[in-house]
Amino acid sequence: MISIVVALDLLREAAARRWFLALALALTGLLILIVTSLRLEVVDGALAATRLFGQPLYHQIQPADVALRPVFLVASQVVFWGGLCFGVLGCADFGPALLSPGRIEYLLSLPVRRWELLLGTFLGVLALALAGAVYASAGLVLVLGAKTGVWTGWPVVSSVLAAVAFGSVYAGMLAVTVWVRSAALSAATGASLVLLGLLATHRVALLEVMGRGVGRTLFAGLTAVVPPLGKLADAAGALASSAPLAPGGLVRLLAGTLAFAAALLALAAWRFERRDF
Amino acid sequence: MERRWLWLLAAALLVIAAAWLVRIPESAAPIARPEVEMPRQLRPAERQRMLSRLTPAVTDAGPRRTEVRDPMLAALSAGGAGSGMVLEVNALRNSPLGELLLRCLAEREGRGNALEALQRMGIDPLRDIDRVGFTEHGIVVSGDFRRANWEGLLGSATGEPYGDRGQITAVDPRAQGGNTLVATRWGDSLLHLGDSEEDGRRVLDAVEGRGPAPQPLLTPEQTYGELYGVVSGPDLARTLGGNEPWATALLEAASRVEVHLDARRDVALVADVSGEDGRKLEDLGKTLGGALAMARVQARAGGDDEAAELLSFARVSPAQGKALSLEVALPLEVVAKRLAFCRGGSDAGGP
Repeated sequence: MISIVVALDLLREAAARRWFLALALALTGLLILIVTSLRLEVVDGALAATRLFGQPLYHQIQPADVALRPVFLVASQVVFWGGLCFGVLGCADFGPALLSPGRIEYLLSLPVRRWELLLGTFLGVLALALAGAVYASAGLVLVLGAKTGVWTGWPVVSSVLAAVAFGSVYAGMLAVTVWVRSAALSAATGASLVLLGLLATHRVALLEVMGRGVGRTLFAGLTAVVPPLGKLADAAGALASSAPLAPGGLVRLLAGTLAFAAALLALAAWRFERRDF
Repeated sequence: MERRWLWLLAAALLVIAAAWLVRIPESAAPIARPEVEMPRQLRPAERQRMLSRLTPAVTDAGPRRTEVRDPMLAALSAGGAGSGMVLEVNALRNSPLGELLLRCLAEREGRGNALEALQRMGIDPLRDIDRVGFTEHGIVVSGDFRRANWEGLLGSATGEPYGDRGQITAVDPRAQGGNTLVATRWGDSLLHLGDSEEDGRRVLDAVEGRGPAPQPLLTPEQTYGELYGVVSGPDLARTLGGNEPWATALLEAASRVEVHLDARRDVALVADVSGEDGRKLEDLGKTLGGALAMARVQARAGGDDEAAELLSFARVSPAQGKALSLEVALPLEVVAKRLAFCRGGSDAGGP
């Protein structure tokens, strides 16, 4: 419960930041632009013609939901990777702000356990990421649904995956912040985790071409635990575009990602518990 | 143990769990959407097949033409046919759809007796026949007929000689008061079944390269797929005959439809429609797209997910000028049900 209060406090802090205000305005502007500039003609459920800014776009006539699959696929990838990049840059300062001199002493003087502070910060950032991803994808679904009559919730579900992926990255950023209070280092850690997540996606192929040695062992160890973000992005794209998914595969991937985030949070809590302020 | 060490222990356990969970076995990896290869051009094997069928003109009389030709295509073009379809029987030998299509096409053309006659004369349609072509001037069959019992079928081992390798034989009148069946042979590799000796002579002239070259109905480069051909507007009107919106729009807009069908497994159909009125073609494209979308919705509502998935490949490339292209993929079962009238089934013609 106290963690929720901390999370809400972080959300209030985020609302006051220009970065997030700019993101909200940009997303809203983009959706309004789509509403006003895109004209879609649907005949018996088939997307027959499209006009953007009054100019016809030539495409094949096919069922509207099939025609929208690539749109939702691209949108899911933009939300996933764009969200990761924005999140790493925009949220890098929340951890250091929590631990800033004066504020952390004040917070620790309250009847709040240290791990609750960490968890609250993490949940606040996760809620922020979730809100941004869901706002973008749900907005697109609503706009295109109103224009074509194709209503699907999968792009919204896909955006939840993007938020979960960012959660695993942010857990690492928060853990590093507990050791070194630096927004730059936090952002660098986030970027490194995104890169490692990409490498972990192609781990087997990369290990095959690497020569034996310390570097290969280190790479194998690191990429063994980091969630393969590329696979998560693929799964998010598949969900958004109604492509088939193997049963169980996504559940394991999500569980592994959440376990990785929890492990980093536990590590941060271990360090936080023994640190003096 | 101090509580803070519990955090470290939990972190270690969670890392191990994460490492185990994210290593997804291949069987649980995302499944790729099934791909359907649409017949759009000659595949390598088809190109080989096409080249092997080209032969030089053999005539030793009249004006000579020096080009090579596919005898089957030359025979189909004889008489200025406006419509013609070719079934690659040999390519479909192991396809469950092949025999059904053969029977159906014969039934539609009212030439079932001719195919039965083929079997009686010792020609196995699934072994000896390479291709069967249909035009308004008759049926053209190509293959290896060296084992055929011509005397048993045609009443005579030889017919009236014509040209270099041709023989024309008038067979018994068709049952139920039909016209005389005229069988025209070209060597032991081509047989034309038509209504008149004039048709037979035109076929042999075209095959042997005598006289002016007829306007080709199909070029060798168009011989891809297991069923291919062109249908003229009037023939299309006679064949479809329905009053569904898409059929009506098709009749109004299409002057010529080129069809290629890949039936090795499921059925992939490409139809290139051309017409004179670009506006009508545009409307036709929208109507066809809508009809296909509705068919997909109906398949899904009926619980036929496979058909619905394959129908999601259906698309219409809108009219660019005076042509549009239609692509449809259907599971074998759906096609077989649609063609059930050939077996006289009660579900004939169902969706």
